[in-house]
Amino acid sequence: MLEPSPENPAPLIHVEALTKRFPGVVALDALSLDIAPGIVGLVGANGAGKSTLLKILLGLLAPTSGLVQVMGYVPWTQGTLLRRYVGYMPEHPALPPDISATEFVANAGQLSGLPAKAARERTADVLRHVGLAEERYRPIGGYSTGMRQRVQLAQAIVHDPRLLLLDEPTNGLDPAGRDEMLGLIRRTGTEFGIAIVLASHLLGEIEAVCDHLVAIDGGRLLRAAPMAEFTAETGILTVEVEEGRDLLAAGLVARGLRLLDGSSAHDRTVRIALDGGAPFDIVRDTVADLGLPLIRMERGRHSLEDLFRDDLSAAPAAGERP
Amino acid sequence: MTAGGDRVTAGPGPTGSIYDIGYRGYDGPRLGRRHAFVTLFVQALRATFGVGRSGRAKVLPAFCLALPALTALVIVAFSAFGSRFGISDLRVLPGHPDMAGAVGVFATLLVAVQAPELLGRDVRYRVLSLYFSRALLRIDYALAKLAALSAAVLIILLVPHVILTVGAVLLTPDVLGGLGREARWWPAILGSTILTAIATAGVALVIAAFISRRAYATVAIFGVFIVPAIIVGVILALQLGEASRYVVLLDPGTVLDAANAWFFGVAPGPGAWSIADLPLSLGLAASIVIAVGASAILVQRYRTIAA
Repeated sequence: MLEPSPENPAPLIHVEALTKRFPGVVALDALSLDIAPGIVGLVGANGAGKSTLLKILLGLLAPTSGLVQVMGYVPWTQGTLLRRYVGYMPEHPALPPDISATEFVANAGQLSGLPAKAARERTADVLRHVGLAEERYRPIGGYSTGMRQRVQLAQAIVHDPRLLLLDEPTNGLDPAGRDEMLGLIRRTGTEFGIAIVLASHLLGEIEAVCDHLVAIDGGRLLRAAPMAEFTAETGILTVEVEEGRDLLAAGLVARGLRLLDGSSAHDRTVRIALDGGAPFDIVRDTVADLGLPLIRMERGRHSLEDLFRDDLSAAPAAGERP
Repeated sequence: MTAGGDRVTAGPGPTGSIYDIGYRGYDGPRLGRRHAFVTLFVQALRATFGVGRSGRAKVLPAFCLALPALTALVIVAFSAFGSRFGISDLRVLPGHPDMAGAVGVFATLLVAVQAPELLGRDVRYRVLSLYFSRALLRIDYALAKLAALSAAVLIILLVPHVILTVGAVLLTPDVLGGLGREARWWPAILGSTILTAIATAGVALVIAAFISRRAYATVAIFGVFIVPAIIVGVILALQLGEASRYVVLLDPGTVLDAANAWFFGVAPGPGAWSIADLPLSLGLAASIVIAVGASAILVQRYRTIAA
């Protein structure tokens, strides 16, 4: 667990009735949420308000109304104090081509409040962590997209922030580069103990890396909950047999189990409602008695996509915090 | 803190696992805005003179620094050996009041090339968002760049004055008396060079802040320091009447010349200001307006620029 800030033990991020209007657009609409330390995914479609929220948390944009506190600081008025403890990786490439990664990251560290010597030392450390070796002395203009993203991550953690805000950190990366970047982020959050808010429109990324999930859409909160809740086991047991699916279904009903719709005839599976019980022995015995060739017996899990899709379709009702 | 880090030699593996000596946190001091400002200032000043950059980047600043210095050295040499060249009265040699006119063009050259360099890159490559997400404000960024470029211009403008002063003191048998005579020049020297430096750097940075393409910005900066002089010259030559002589106020170069003349208490050189025959104090006021106005526009631009 991390200490939010030396000065303040308040929750990491506290947002209350936050509204941000741009001319003609409401980017954030009475958004309220609390974020605790950990790796938090911020998901939403493009234009859902993710980047706007991150910029407000950084103090780069003023809220139209509402209350925002990050580690006890009010970002818009105490930005320079707050940003000594926050790292930010924007969604677009933001690196000058003509200087080296070492020079750029060291400079970034100083601008975040590190004395020159400490900035140089931490630059060497941090570039090693993100996997930049000899090339760190060459101008950034010659780097691959993957290397640039590593530099962008390095400049965000060079000052050992308590909070790291990442905006679409895998933008433009190929699948291998994407996996490496996600691994780095995961390590940063777990081993380095830095709280992370990761904004992405890619659910797979969020699912792979995050402990918590905050879903927003149209500037409103859809849902905020631990990742486990989104991918929890469902109350459904799926049983698949090589043949005799209908026999099995009849046998299970005869023994008092409730089957679910969707156990259709043209597949070979039966879906059993668990209803809080654990009818594994009954299933085993039924299969054995009927002499059926059992292929698998599996408890279903939600995928993030399922729930997010459900939430989106039920958006007006799900506006409140769970 | 990184002891041992560089001991590990290069090895394979994109994950860099063999470099892994564990993440270390930072418990040292976290400085604030002032530190960030000084960092930006020093970085921009070094960049202006090409320090830590390629040799090519050093050529122009070195040229702008060396030629004014050379000019002053030649003057000192003439005053030392003047009699051999048949100069009997050393007062005909250029002195402190003449330096601004002699080296001003190098200041213009430096800002025209380096102001776009200082600002354009950060806009073009969207680096601003990484600056603004640190322990500083947008205004700090703008003012640090202004301070750095002003300081660079000031150095170029001051070097010949320093050489003249050192030369004059060394060439006098009466060193203390020489020092005293030279010291009387320095309030005027500092006043005129500081004002010229801020105005020149400010105008150039404002232009560079609105034109992110380097080449266009450089042309535009030269334009602002050269084109008005030509137009003003034409208008004055046409003798359109009493009011038309105020057009000289539109030419930053002429206005700064007038301000320099005011500081040194001498007549303005032969040029637009002499023709227009306006009070020198008006030139001073106009120069201050240029310096303050350019700074304000620059700050305002960076308050709202997309990052």
